[in-house]
Amino acid sequence: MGQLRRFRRCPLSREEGRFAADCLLAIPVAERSEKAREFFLDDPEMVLPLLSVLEERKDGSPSSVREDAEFLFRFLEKETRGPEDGGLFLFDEREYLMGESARIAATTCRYLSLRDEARRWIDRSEAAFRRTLNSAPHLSRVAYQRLALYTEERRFDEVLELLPGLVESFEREEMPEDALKCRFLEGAVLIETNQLTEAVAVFTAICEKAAALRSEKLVATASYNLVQVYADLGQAEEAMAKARETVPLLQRLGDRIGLAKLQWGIGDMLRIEGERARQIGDDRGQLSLGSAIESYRVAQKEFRDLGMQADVAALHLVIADLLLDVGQDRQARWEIQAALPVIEEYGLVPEGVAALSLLRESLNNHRINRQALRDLHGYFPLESG
Amino acid sequence: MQPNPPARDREIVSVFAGAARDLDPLISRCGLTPEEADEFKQVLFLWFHAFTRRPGNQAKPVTLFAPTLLEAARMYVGSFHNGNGSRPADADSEVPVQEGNREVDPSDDRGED
Repeated sequence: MGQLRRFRRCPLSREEGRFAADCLLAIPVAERSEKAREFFLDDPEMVLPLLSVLEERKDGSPSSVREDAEFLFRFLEKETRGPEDGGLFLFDEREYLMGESARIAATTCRYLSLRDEARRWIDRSEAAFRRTLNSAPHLSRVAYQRLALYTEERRFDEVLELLPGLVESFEREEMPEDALKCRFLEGAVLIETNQLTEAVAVFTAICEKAAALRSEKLVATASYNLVQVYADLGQAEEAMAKARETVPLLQRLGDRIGLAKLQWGIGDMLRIEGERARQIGDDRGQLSLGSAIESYRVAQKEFRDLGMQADVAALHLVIADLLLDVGQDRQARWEIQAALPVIEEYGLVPEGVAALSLLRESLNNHRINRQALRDLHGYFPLESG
Repeated sequence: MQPNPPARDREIVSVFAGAARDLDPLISRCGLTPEEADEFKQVLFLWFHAFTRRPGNQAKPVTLFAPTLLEAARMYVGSFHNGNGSRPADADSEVPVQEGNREVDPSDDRGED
């Protein structure tokens, strides 16, 4: 007869799972290993709600979710066992949970512009999911992360080539929300290639379909992208109307990244309004430009708090550009000098090396190269959700 | 993972109950007592219930996963038989599987179909 060992816990209700996950996440990561078993982290019934909580929180606190997801992956990898070794994880459960925790880690690394780390976590996630049953949906979700990373790396040709196949995979797997998410990448490529009218059409379609799917998260993400595109198109009224509609939704979802991006879009809109007013000699133009800087700074502070250094650096460059417009050259220099070390440390704009070099040289010559500044900013990645 | 609607849970229970009948000969070869065999089925049900809720599986008919369930059972019975299986730590562990505030009993095969 088989030698039988301890049994896993009964499934937790949604509320119990959330409470247990909150208790575990309240323990600092450094101390978590010691207490992991006390909190039944070696039991899948505990891991499942924990992953749900991490998935929900990744847009609100990517730095801590990254740590949590990485810890969970390592714990599952080293401290747990599958059924063949007498562990509590049944069949492919351990690999599935490792794949999910690695996928969340990859997503947060992308948000934080840690691209090499993101690549490694994507590989780990894929390796774990390959060992699960019915792995196609999971591998497709990992493929989405890889294409999102390509988008941020401005590998647009590859994104456009691979995206239709991925959409088809999601549709075949009856995953309409994931299929719709792919359109964000299409929209991001359109923005980056300055096809703004087409981008409006894409994000508007996403909003409508997401509403039909009752996915508030996708509606919110498409909406703040629309604010940005309307601002870029100089359609201030549309941008403001969409922003008003989107703020409460993002607040309800706890999507701090979305709120910061929205704030950035509002800054762009105020800047365009200000520039228009100045062109016709309206004094209110200066006021709008001041408000735009304020708006950028609010967004920048939020990105700094979220640990999203690439966005902090990009906003330094945007603010510098605007400060040059209003004749505050010294302040603009300071903004650029604050951005350059981050750009180099994170290797953020490999395609913009020439612009970076020109900008640095112009700083040394005490005359900022405006075109290099704008080019460099243009090379910054968009996070694709 | 999102909790299932009740109809989906009934479908899971129904498919599991159907497959469990096919599993009996397999289980009997392990030399488990009837109580242990029940516990084994309950463990298998937990896995199956979670499996059907994974992304990509949620929208598909549960009947599609009956072969997967049998495959998992064959592997798991093997590990049980090799002395590495899992079971409740105490006799009170025979608790019906719960989903949210509702109980789902794997022995209840009242499906929708």
